[in-house]
Amino acid sequence: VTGARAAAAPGYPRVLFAVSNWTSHYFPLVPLAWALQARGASVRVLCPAGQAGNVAAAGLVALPRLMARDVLVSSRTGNYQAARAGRWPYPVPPPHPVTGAPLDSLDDFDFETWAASQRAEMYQAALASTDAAVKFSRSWRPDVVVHDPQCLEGPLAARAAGVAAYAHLWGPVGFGDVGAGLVLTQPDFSGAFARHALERPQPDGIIDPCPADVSPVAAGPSAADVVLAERYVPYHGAALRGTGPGDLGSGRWICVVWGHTATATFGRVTLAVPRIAKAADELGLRTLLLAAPDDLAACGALPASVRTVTGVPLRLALPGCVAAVHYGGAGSVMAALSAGVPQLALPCGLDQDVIARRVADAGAGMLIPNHLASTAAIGAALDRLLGNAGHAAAAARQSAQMGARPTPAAVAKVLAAGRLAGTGRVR
Amino acid sequence: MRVIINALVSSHLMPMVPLTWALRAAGHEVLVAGQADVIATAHAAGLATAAIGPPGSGVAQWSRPGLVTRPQLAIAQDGQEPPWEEIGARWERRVATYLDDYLDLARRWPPDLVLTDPLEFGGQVVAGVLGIPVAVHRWGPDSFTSTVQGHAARALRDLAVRAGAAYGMAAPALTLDPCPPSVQSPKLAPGQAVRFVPYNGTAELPGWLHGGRPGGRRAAICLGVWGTQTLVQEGRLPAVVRNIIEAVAAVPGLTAVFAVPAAHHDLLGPLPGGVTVAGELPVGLLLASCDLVIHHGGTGTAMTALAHGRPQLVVAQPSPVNLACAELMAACGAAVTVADPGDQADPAVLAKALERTLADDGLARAAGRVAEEIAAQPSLAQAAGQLADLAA
Repeated sequence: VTGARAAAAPGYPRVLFAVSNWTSHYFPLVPLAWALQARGASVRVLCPAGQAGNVAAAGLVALPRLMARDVLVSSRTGNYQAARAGRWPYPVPPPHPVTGAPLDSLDDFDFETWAASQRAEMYQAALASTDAAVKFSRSWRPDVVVHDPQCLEGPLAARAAGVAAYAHLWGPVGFGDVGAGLVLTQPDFSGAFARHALERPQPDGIIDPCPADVSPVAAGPSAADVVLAERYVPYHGAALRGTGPGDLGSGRWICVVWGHTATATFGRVTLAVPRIAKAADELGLRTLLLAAPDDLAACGALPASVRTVTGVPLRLALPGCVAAVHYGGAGSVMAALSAGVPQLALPCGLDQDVIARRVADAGAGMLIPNHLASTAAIGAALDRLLGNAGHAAAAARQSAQMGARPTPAAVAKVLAAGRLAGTGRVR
Repeated sequence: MRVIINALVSSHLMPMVPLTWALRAAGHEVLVAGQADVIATAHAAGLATAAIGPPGSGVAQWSRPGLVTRPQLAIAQDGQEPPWEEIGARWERRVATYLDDYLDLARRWPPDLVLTDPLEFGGQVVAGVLGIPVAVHRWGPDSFTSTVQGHAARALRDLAVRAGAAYGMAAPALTLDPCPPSVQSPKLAPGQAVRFVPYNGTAELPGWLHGGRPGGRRAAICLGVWGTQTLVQEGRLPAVVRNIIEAVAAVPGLTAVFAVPAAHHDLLGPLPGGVTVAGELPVGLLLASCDLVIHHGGTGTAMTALAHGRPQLVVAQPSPVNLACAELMAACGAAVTVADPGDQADPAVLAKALERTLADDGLARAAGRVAEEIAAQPSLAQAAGQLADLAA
């Protein structure tokens, strides 16, 4: 039987996913991977070692061969440098870049010595990770590569196999937004493209799950020749309970989503949940709260109008709420857009500012920079958000736009057809 | 559309998982309802779940008197009609243990459609109560699930009527069959063919699976839940597995990979050089790098082998489900079977059977034809669309 080492079965493509070290960046790719697997495609997910469990929990085959920096450490390092440069709006210093613990003074961390000590390790990790991607790609020979924009190994693996790379956006932030402290793709520390004599490309294609009004691709000239519009299908990890928060009873509810990123990256000073809950309570609103356990513990006593739910996927908590409040994380924003719920973002930095701005510009939400988000400011914003029917209409419009986009199943069909017609290979 | 999915056991849910992904990828919301082992399988596939029924794992039910739905009881043997009254009473007792829970779930999360395996009749009762359509998804080669529908409807009528289903449990509006028509048992009513996509869980793949491999041919030994359970219960490999391993060692140029959960590797004892033990490795991921598969007559393994176009040696274990599977695999020309316990006790006979499996190019050709037939069936995306039409 000579064909034993060939592909699984006739006509089924091999699709390599390459993902970065942050679930929010690649969870939006999961339904596309499911759709491809449902078509019979062989899907492998090249990921950093620490993501293997999260990838497997989505029912996908993880190849934990990449090495990636701890995203929290990278982000906190950026904050520390910003603070040093006088660009830190909070009254207390940012968290310790390595441990995340509160810093009394910026002088309590010796950035230069630490950074110097990291350089060799970072180079070795980048070298090993990129080489592993090239090696795997050349042996497995994928027909197409799909990656999140942060994962440098995605385009590298595609070039190594001579196939197209599709960058799948995680939300309303794109390659055109890079700059002013926002980095989308990891830098090529080890000079991997040069070492492997591969040309560093623009993405061959972008898969865009954003409705047109907030899309970073629709906003300006595209970084890629091909843009595949896709309907966003929320996946926020395997759910513990699939039935939602249960009967909410009477009252008007807002859904407050507070993941662990904000506190871990920007410090407890950004934990706005108690202020949001108080502002909502004063407006006679009830709060459905989905928060990380550490944050929840740090909130202390909350008004009686707050109901905390755990283990409920966000997509099932949003229906029935009149607004969503969050810090502008892409997963929360996309889920709220998809559910047609107007939103208030309290962004802290990173890509949150860009994302929140796009949503506000589209009329589907409002934003208050986190350091200005006092109880009074939040209350006033919520009052306006709920008092102006235009926001609800704009949110409903985003949801309708999303619903009209091709499903991941349809995008999977396009990717598979490209391969079978031989157009997936770009050289 | 909102779809509640249920299955009697994990092995019935596994072949439904890719369709469930197709539903999610088409923008539909799905919820897998069931007991512990089914829930765990759904979770591992990234699906949302809701537990229903009394606590305790589904596997434990098999040994609980009075609650057991033994599928094999419902298979006619030696021309004897199965004891339908006894079976029906068991079905009723079992469905009654979780029906209230299930109905409560369906009220909190109202589905537009129920998708069920052919033996978890609670879904059909719930569909009857709610007045929504129900679709059945078969698990693969099977000779008896059409017959049981009528008996189940009769046995569960009173229970269903008491729960509010005036006409009893809902009859399937659609029966999806992933087993290709040329393979499926003629004893079944024809279903709507749908492409079988292998899914048997996920795993971290060992490096050798993607790399090159030594010359010669490689077999995958897959003994499924049956093999692992026997291993754990008896503390050692079943005799027939020992014999299979000895047979592999006796065939020149043949090596084998034997996938067993790492926790049980201590129980395996010494193995000949040509047999490599791997940790738990889904058969679909293993088969791409193997030339043939040796198994006990598990329908999931058989379907996966067909989808990969790999010939099979079926050392059928004496359960009617396994024996029926072995017969269907032999009938489609893709398998050599050894069903006789005396033959299974003799490594030399098994080695001869292995040599025949390797030498007969006709087996690989037949398996390849079936693989093409599977690939040509309507896609799961189409099936998802059909389900949405039912619910519309």
